[in-house]
Amino acid sequence: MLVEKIPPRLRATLVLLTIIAVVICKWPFWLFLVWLFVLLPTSAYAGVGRAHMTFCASFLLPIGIGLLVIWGAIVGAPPGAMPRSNPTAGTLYALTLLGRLTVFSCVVQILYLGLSPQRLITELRGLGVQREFLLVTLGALAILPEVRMRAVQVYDAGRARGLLHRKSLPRRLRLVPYVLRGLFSWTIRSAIERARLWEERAIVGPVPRSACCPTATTVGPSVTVVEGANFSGRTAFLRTLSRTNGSIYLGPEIYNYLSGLSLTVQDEMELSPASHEVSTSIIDSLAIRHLLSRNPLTLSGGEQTSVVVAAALASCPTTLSVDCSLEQLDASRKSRIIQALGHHSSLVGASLIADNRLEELPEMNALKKVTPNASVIENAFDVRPVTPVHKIDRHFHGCTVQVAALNFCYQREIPVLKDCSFTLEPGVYLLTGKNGAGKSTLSRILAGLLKPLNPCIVVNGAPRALWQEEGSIFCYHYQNPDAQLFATSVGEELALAPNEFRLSNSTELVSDMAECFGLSGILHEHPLDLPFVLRKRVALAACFTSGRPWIILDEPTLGQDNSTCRSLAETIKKLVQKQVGFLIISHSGFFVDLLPSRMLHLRDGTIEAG
Amino acid sequence: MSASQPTSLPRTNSLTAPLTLSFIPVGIAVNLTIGTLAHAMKLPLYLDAIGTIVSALLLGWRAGVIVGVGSFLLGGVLTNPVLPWFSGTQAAIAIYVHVVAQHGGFKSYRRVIAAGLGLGIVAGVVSAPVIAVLFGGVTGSGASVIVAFLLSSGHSLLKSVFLSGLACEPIDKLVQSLMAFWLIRGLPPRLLKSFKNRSI
Repeated sequence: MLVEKIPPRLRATLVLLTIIAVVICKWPFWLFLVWLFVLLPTSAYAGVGRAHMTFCASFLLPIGIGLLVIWGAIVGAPPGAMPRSNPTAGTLYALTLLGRLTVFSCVVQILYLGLSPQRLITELRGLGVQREFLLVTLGALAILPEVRMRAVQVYDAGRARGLLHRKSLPRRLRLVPYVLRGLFSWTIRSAIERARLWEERAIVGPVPRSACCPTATTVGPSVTVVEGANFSGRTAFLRTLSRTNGSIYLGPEIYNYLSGLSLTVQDEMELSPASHEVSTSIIDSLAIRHLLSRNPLTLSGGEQTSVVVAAALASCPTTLSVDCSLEQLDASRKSRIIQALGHHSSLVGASLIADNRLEELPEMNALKKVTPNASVIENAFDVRPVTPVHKIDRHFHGCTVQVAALNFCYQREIPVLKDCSFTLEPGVYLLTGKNGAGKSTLSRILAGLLKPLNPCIVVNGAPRALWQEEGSIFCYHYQNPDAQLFATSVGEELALAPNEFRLSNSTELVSDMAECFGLSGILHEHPLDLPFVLRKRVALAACFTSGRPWIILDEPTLGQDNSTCRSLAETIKKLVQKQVGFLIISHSGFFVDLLPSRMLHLRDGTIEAG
Repeated sequence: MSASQPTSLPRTNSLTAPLTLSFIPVGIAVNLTIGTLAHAMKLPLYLDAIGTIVSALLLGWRAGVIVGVGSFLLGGVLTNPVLPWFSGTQAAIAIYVHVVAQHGGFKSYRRVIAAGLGLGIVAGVVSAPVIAVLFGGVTGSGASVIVAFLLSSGHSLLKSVFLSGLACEPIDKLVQSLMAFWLIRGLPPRLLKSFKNRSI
């Protein structure tokens, strides 16, 4: 790109010259012409800030000009000038002032925003800018799209739980604070998690890790499995280990372990000190070469896990702990990551993996296993085991949902779903299919977050427009619990949906479900203060209290041990007897086998009943 | 450097602590997203300093100044070319919030109301000279029309800008202080403990 060929000093000089030229210039007309005929085409050619330029031209400029005309009409002349009534002079004067600023910011945009973040770092560092300052700038540039994505996610999660389904504006507005606060707390939580990661990956900190990685042969087996149930001390063990110098801990909410500083996977890898050859071999062994130019935030959960592990490996840690990050992956990706950890054992002192249901993988049996001593662990929370619910007094009105020839495509893209037809009667359905087969798209359509191309959904014999009453039939439990926690206490969280739907005897339902998910001792805690296992349970319980006839569960067993899975399956069976329907997406064979389920297999956008 | 000198100790400067470094972008994002939203919805409020107030309360005034100035510099390039010239106002906001919070001004909603009104006056006073001298009263915001009206009714430029600032700023800053306080109140208490320098 042309912009990249300009040497840094010339670039800085150009900005300086622009400032001088703009301050000297007294003719708004010339500034406008420069903007229109030089800057706008340049930015279009260089592809820099094109969206922003369009925004300026279509939105800001008309408003600005409108205001200036009003200004000129009211004031009539520049302050201090005589005679006072001269609208043209006043408008021109105002135009000069605004023109200066616009031209200046356009020049800076073209010269600097067109650079890749990596290039920007090297260049600004060459001009003598501090490293910490650069990190913050990069972080701010990268976090803007991220916050936008998170806002959409939180808003959608609220809709999928039926919290925003009312048509009336006041009722919707009542829930806006929940969404705002949920978004804020979640983002701050991530920032704290990220600060720890930056330190562990030596992106910041007093002593940057040297680029040379240990090349010594490994000591003992390179990958070790840490065994144990929930709250047996696995996570505490791994977290403690990661406090030693140069160790990295990767937890279950994998997006928190991306640095948040990079706009592409390539940049993410380059933040780590490993040499180019080492990075290349890591990238190849994890098969993420095709992702290098993508934004890490837009990847699927499985791809993100691979990228995070790759970046951690390239940081050459003394120990690398992978805590429950692998469960949502399909078997082939899971074994590829484990193989890569073994293959690059020269980079890592020791790799430790803790996860549930790892025994489903055959190669697991060959690995060394350790069990942390549970007697020394003291839990910060009063957590009780998950127990199957004893009785459910509530009767749910079972819904039969018929979907006939459902079609869907995202804008200007190939169809995602083609002529999907199926009937859902209260019971357990398993939605299967490869990554990208359209499982989550189908779930989002059923939850009412997306509008299908044709009206095709019939509930109990009557056609319904689900996208106009989001979350009213299907309550959608996201894979990631953090996006769907809004309230400031667990008790409030569980009661949100029942209050919104004005369910009768909702108190019993809430206390039953809190009991069932082992949350009754922590009802006063802030949901986002809890560890991942519990956040997932709170989010699950919140869906179960919503009283909707259908519940979509996306990976409900993430981070949960086998006994929790059994209890969850029992509860689901009890609810099915009460005419509640479940649509489950899960990679866990163990959990799936516990449920008497029917299959809906998605392939190439169509349903194959099994 | 000779071998007898001690090797450099880990820096204890709170500004380069990882938590501060990772929080500053969040603050900038809060400023810019809410600010741009308010600008696009043509609200009569600016709402562009909530991130600054939050960071000043949680991390101290230095971080607050960096968030405020940083977001306005970045915002100047990304959204509104007028913003960078008001960096001084942002710095003043961060320092004022920090000082007031140190004296218990951000303890309850009642106190926050008082602190927010005061913040509005401070912001109005600091930004008036910039608007008057640099922009001649025109910033492209809704307040420019008020300035124009006052100018045409015979007031001097600085006085018009100052009066229009006093009319808009306190309400805006009051809303912002309340929002920042409310957001921090909603944070998980255990997470809040990670902010060692917080003054709330």
